[in-house]
Amino acid sequence: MNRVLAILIYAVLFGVSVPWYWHWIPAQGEQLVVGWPLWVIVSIGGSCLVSLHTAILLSHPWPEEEMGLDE
Amino acid sequence: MTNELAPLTVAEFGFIGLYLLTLILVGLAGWYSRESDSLKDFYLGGRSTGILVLLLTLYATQYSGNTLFGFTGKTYRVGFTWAVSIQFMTAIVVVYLLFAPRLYTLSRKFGFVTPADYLNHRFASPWLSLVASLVMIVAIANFLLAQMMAMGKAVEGLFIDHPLLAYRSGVILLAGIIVLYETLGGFRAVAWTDAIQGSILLFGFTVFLFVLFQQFGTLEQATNRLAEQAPEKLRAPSGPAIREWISYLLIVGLGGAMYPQAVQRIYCARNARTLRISLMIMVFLPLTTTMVSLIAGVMGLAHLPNLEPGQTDSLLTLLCREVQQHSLLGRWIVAVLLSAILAAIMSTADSILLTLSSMLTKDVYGPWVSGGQAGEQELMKVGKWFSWIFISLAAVGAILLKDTTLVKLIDRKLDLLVQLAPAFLLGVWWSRLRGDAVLGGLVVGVLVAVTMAVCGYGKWLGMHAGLFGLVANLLVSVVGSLLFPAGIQTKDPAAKGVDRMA
Repeated sequence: MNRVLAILIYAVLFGVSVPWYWHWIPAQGEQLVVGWPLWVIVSIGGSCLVSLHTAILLSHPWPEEEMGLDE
Repeated sequence: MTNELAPLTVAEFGFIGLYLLTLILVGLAGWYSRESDSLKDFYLGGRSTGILVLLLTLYATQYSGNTLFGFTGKTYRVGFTWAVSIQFMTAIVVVYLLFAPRLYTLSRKFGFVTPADYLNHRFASPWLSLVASLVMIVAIANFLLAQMMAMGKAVEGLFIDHPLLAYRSGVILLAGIIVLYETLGGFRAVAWTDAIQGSILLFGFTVFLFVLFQQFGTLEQATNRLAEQAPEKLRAPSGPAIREWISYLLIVGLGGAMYPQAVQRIYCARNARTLRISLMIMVFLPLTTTMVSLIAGVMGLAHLPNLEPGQTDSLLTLLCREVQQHSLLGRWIVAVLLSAILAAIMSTADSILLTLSSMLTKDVYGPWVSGGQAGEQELMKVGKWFSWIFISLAAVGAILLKDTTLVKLIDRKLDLLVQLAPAFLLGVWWSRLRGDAVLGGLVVGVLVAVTMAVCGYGKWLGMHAGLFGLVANLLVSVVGSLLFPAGIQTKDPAAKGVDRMA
């Protein structure tokens, strides 16, 4: 994946995960969804996507493997 | 409300005893499996660690007793805002992604054993290597002391009648077991016991989650109750709390990835694919352990309200007691969970001890005491002595400091470790980064962080002191490297190594 795109995706995902914007919509944030406040669901959901994005980046072989140097 | 568990039966003690005995047997197995009497074999297991063991040792090392007791208690105190813990534990793996591939390649090529080996190779500055090693040693020695105290407290909870004797005996017995298997089998013993401990931790916490729901009802019921009792604990953070959230992400993400024992786990992988796949799985593990701590904290908040502030870090024990009292299955699950708690503490302590021993031996004793004259055999012997001396000092410290709180000192370890981020993160990417500038940055960063903490500004404007230190550190490192590129020598092969990978 293109390095700039990968960083951009991280920026967007962390931007969503950090609950800075719920300050303007407190009622929606406190709404409960299966036992979790909505803002927590969004925050943990964003964290899951960060994990997924990282796993996708890690799924590509590293230069050492591509060069056939991996033992 | 009492903090102690109901007394365990002989069979339940037997289960925990069996687990402890297994650790010594694993140490023996590590000793028999050694391939050579070399530092590489003793401290890195001959760089032959496979995916499963690497994953579990990374996991067990990263998640300490603090994750279980501290995170549950913190959730009790601040509510859902501690969801940040899931993010900062994920952030550590994201930071690995930034430097682990390059560091791994260099470590294979140049045979690094300790984190300072990389610094020495990259910057050719003995003083930088020494100062960085001392910063790491101070940061994690304090962490070792905290783990020893946590061990004592875990055992203390099992014996209601003689808590002080139980605390002291627990510290001495568990410290003895750790140092025995560590000096017998070195990294292999530590990694294999970590694998056992990591498995128990994963299993114990998963089962504990289901038992919690069975005991207290669903999370929805707990949250509804909380909405009536303490609605502020459900609210999204704002203002300074958001800055604190971001501060936690940065300090734990960057500082947590700089743990020297974690850096050594990058070196020890059998190959790049092994490390890559281990990290790929590792990035999802905060959703198990840290998430369970968060849920346990919320359940405690809803069902065990009005705890004294001093009791909140014992919340996990209180929840265990509730589970234990209601069924035979519950009692056994608590026995497994107690093993998991001991596992979390011991696996962190053994990794720290091995890393401390390797750094003191290879980075301090070798170059600065023996003047580079000591051979591998001598270094290994000295390393084992260091382990025994260190664990003895930590055990005595844990016994003497039993009733003092080390929380503030423990918090400072990340403020210190984060100062190493420029050397590792910038160092593997930017060939113009100079050793003397990094040394200056490191010293300035540590001074800023420590001075702020000592003056009562451990957190200022919601941000950790270590981050202010890091900004100063970065400024000195980058500006120093740009302003004095020709006046400071950098070891050529290292710089070329970085360029080649770019």
